[in-house]
Amino acid sequence: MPEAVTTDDVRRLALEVEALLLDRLAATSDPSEKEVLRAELRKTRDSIDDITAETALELAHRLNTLSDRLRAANSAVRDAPFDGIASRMQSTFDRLQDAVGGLGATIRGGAAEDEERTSTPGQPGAGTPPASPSRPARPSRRTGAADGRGDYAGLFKTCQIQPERLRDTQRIVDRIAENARLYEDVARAVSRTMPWFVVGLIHSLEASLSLRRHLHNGDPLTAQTVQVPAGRPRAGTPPFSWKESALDALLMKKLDEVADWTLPAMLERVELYNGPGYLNRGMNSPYLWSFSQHWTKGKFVADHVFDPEAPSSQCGAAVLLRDMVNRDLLKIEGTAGTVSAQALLGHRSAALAAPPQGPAHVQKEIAFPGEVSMGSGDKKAIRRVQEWCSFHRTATPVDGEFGPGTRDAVKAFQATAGIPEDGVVDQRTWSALTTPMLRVLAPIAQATATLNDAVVAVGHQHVAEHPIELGGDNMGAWVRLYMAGREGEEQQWCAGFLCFVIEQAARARGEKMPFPRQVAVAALIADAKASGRFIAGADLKTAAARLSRLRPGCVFVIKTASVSHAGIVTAVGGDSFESVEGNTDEDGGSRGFEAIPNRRNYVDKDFILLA
Amino acid sequence: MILFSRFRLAFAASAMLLASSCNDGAGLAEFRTYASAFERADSASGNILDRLSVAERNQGRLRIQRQNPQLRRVGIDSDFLTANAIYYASSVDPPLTMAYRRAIATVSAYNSTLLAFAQGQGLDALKIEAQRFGTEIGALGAVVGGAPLLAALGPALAALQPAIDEALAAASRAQFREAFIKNYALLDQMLATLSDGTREVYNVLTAEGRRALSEHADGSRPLAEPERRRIVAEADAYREALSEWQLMFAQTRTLMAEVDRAMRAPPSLTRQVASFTDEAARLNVTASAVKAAILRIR
Repeated sequence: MPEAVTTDDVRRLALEVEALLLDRLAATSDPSEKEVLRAELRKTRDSIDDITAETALELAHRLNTLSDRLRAANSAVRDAPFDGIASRMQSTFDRLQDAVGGLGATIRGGAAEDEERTSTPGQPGAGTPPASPSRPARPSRRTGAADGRGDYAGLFKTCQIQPERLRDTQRIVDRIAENARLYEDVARAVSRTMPWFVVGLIHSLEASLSLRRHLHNGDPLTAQTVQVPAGRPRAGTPPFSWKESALDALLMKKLDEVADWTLPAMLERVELYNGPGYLNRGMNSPYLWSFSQHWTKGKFVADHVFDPEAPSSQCGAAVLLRDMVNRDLLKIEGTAGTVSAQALLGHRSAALAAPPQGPAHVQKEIAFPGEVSMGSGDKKAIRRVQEWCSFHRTATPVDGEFGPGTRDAVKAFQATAGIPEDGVVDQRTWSALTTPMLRVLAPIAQATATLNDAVVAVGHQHVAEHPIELGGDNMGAWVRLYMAGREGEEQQWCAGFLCFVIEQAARARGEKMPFPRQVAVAALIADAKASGRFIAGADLKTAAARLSRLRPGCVFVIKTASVSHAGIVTAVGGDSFESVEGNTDEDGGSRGFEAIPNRRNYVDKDFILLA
Repeated sequence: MILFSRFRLAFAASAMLLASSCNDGAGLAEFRTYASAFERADSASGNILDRLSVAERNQGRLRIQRQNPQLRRVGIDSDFLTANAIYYASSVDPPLTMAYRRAIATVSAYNSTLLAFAQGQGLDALKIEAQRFGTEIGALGAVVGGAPLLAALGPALAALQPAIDEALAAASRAQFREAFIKNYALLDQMLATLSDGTREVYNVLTAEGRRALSEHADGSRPLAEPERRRIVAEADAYREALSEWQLMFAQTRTLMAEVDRAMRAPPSLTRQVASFTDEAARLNVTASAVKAAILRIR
């Protein structure tokens, strides 16, 4: 078989032809032949230049392909150093950490006087300190009155992270955020109200965020705990999963009975997880304040053995919370110190254990409509999928037809949610799509003293997810949520929004809605006037009047010849107030497409009290 | 006591790791020599590629004009073909020049990565974890010293930290070896392509001059004698420079092959030293020659 002709061969041939033509040109004296030869020479030179250009492009392509492969190899070497020898290094670290962790559990302080750890039959029962005429009642730092060393809220307010410890602190916070789904699963299994990040705080302190160690004390999961509290979990057989161990630890500490998770209460509970030793000594605990100026040295190094010079290499729980607040990952609101960790959750979907509460139309809105994909005939289900894709900014027309555009929109969403991108809306994809709605319907994380407080909290919870119209004016999943399943151009939903929020807040407190649900602003006003809950704006001419008569959680209404709108007041100021409103927009209009927070003046506003 | 036996296990693990990496110094010196040699090839490439950029762009424009009858007739190209833009834009290199620069930069970056690992500077994430762990060990050590029952563990804990540091550096060097062996063939292919490609580079650099001489030979484009001599001298200088350049890449390949041999089967020290001394000396001479050849082209 003859060898394939290469570009080199062609080029060589062209050069030979050129040389032959030049020789012939030099040999002939015939002008017409010279003309023909010159024309041929031009063509030959053009061919040579074309071949030069083409081979150059081929070489460029080969080099670029090799460059791409070498760049990928370079990235792989730099970004995945835990293959090969480094993974052996990692497992060596793990074995070393297990060994040191066991030692750390032994010498970690604060276990001496914990009621759970020291309680045995015949001695003072759990929950009471050993009887001693010289031992005072356990002080509480919720108010700071008992020992004069400052209360939790005050300490937290003034807490400053040591600059040399900042990076370590932030790294721990970042890892806590990465494990949010895991902590949320555990927290939900403990109680509806336990903040998930508290699990992360304890995890950091007890087990250095290792998922191979017990949350009780950092002992390996390969056996029941050896150090105090020993023999846990009592049920099950080793090796234990981290989740079952964590649940056992938290329930053992009775964290399922905690209802108050405001900041001071949270800090106290976390400190008591480690024991009351420092509290009884009247000193700040390193379990909370290590890595800040509120604690520098002195800790329990063994049971009942306190070393005043002992340092700590662990970041305190309050310091971690301080970093979260500093970075706007956590919000502490109000005088009670209610804690909101929406930002800390990041973009991942919340794994909520409990089904959403509420009327039947709520369940219908969230319910999985069955698998939806190319070829599906359920237009209603397809529209719902398309609405949610649009919500998540993988937009597709809401037309009830599952074509390539919808499939691609689903795939794009799946990519952002870390779900296999198959374009099929299964249960998992549907759950991810509807997670924002699950979040607004979730029980509010913090306990509330009054219905008004709950209304504000729920209102914030809703606008945090930015409900918007989808698929047309006054259309879409959110409008249906607020309007009891109805949608359409005539369904103005501002009143529906605020009534839904108030009803949800009341239900969260086990109370009834304080007034009948209304979807028309005029009906809200009429009902309020009839029940004596209406306050005319004309009666609130001064800042003092506004501040004294209005409370966050009440309703504001606008009813003029041209405008009919209503929302929930979330903060009262002398000259303006803050609100959350539906069916509005950034301009404060009454026919907007979204539910957002806002700030308004008192002009042309009337108010409705909840009760 | 459980804790003591745990630490014996930990020590054994560290010792094993260190022992397994006793041979990972092999290839390190050779790689440094190869990387330095490639750096010199890189710096010698600049002038050549600058001239290639100009020649390639000119050739591209001439080709476009030749293929466009309207342009030849009217003098203005009424079509704006984006595919041709790369030959008109002065802010970017034409394709072959760009590919060469990119390839050389990619090899340099890869060499830097491997050199960092070779010098024990890789595995930053693991290092951070080790530092945190070291802090914990230090704190525990301070505490343990004050508790009589646990005092015997103090010296053991104190010895752990440097063992971890050494193991980390060893792991980094081992990672360098693994990465080099894994990607050797790819790197060799890259250097071979860079070396063999000097032929196409020469053709592009001399295309304009070669055509001028050919047209002069057929009488269609008279050339003054000084201009003809200049074109011939330029082509000769390019040939010389590119020959040296090609040799540099070829020699770099040879050095890299030495690295590979050293990694897989460490040779005797004497042979290594002699071999590398020779190659390094040859490469130094070549680099100087390339520079001088380019300077001669006016």
